[in-house]
Amino acid sequence: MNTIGRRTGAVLWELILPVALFIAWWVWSVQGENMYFPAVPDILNAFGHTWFGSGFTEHVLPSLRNFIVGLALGTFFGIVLGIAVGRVAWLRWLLSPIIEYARALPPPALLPFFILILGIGPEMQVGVIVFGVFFVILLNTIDGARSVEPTLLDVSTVYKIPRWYRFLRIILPAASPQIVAGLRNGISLAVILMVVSEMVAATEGIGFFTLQSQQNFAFVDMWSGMMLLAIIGVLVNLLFTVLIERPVLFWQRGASGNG
Amino acid sequence: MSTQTSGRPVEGSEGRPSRVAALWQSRRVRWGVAVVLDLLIVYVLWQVLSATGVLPSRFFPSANAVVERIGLLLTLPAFWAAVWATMQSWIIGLIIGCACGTLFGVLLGSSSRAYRFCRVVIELLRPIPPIVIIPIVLLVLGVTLQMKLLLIFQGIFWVTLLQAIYGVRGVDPVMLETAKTYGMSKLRRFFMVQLPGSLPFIVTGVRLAAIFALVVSIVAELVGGAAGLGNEILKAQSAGDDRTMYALILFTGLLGVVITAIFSALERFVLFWHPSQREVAQ
Repeated sequence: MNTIGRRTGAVLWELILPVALFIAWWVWSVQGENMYFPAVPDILNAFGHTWFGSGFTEHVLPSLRNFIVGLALGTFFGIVLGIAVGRVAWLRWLLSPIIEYARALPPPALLPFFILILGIGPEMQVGVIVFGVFFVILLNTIDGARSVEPTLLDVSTVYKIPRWYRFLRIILPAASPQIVAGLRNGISLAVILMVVSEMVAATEGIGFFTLQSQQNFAFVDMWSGMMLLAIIGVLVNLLFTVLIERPVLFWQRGASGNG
Repeated sequence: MSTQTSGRPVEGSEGRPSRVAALWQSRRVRWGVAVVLDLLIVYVLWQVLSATGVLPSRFFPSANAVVERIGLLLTLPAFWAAVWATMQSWIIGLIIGCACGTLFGVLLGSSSRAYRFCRVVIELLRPIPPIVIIPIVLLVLGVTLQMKLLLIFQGIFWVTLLQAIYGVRGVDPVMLETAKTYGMSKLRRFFMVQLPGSLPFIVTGVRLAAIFALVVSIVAELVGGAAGLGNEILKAQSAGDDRTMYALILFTGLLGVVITAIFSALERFVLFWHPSQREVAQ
């Protein structure tokens, strides 16, 4: 009884600030003092009929498609090449300046380059996301692949374990904590690049819709777009923690505990 | 990148072949050789591929042309004005964001009650990419330095805040108890134990923030149209001036390399007395 009371007290304590802030925003916006900040009920209303209506297929799906395809391709190539480079010492030595340079180059700066070679369209947007994600994952995978326990590799050599099996069961798991850490950064970057590419040069997508609404003085629509993008940012982060980070790290903790 | 000691003892330096090998022992030398090799490879490859038409000249000027253009840009005041516009927002935004993030982080980290009070708001606002708030920030602040600074703030405040919170909360409790037992006052404990103990985390946060602040600056210039390198790159592209576009992108990468190198060195410098925290501070 007492512990239940304390637990609900703790939850309530955590909820005071967000609820208070939301109510404050609501009350202030309803008074309509600033035209850039429309009333919250209007925004929620617009949110409903924009994003659950035709806007879903017109803007949300293209955005999410570019995001997922770009993220998947960048991650895949980053892991494959990262392990190759990470396990071959001379390759790592030779390529590390190029990789460090590409990693330090702010990915949005390459947006005009992709507009030039791919034109305006989904290819360009996917291209920017792939580039950004690729180098984040690559660098982390290289670090991870380097850190494989040498004894494990020696044992697998002694037991004549085939190469592909060694890759799947020893190197990839050993590198996975680093890869997952890289993926967290990669996902945040992919969201940013998705929105930036839509705002600079696109004819569809949530970012396009949001900036377009701003330029047309449709501030309610603009806010509904910003709200959706914010929700996507939070949701993608949450999904990553629940679906990827926890299972992988849990497994990792168990493995290192047994070893 | 590596600033490890290069002056290792040279074994058998009496003209034996191990001299080269000894030189090779130095990470700095190996790194330098790799940099030179990479520059050569990229340059030759680019030059050959564009001369043979594998890289269509419509999209890719020759490497020579781009290098020449970088040389030309370095003499133009307009170019340096753009560099300054980017660096100005970067450094001011970095200082404000890191100062606020670290200050609030240290405060929240020292009180579990206060941290739990703010936790949900932090978790909700942290993952919102700075680009998302561009439309409203542009409306309220216009195409100004303040607009860039606010976006940079949203980009880096939360990183430094969380690093500082983790840092303060991660301080070894035994150390804190010991300090208490020795009769240290609360204020003294804070400055003598908690703050130094959390420094590695804070510095890692600052390094991440420094790199990300540059990214956000470029974004604000691309989307918001503020003066700076991002805007120049986009303008060069839409004007069909490919050489300038490539030259500016390559230069921006160099800027990123310099910032990364400086802040990695800073991190190593601060972490040097606290090696045990290195792994945790990731």
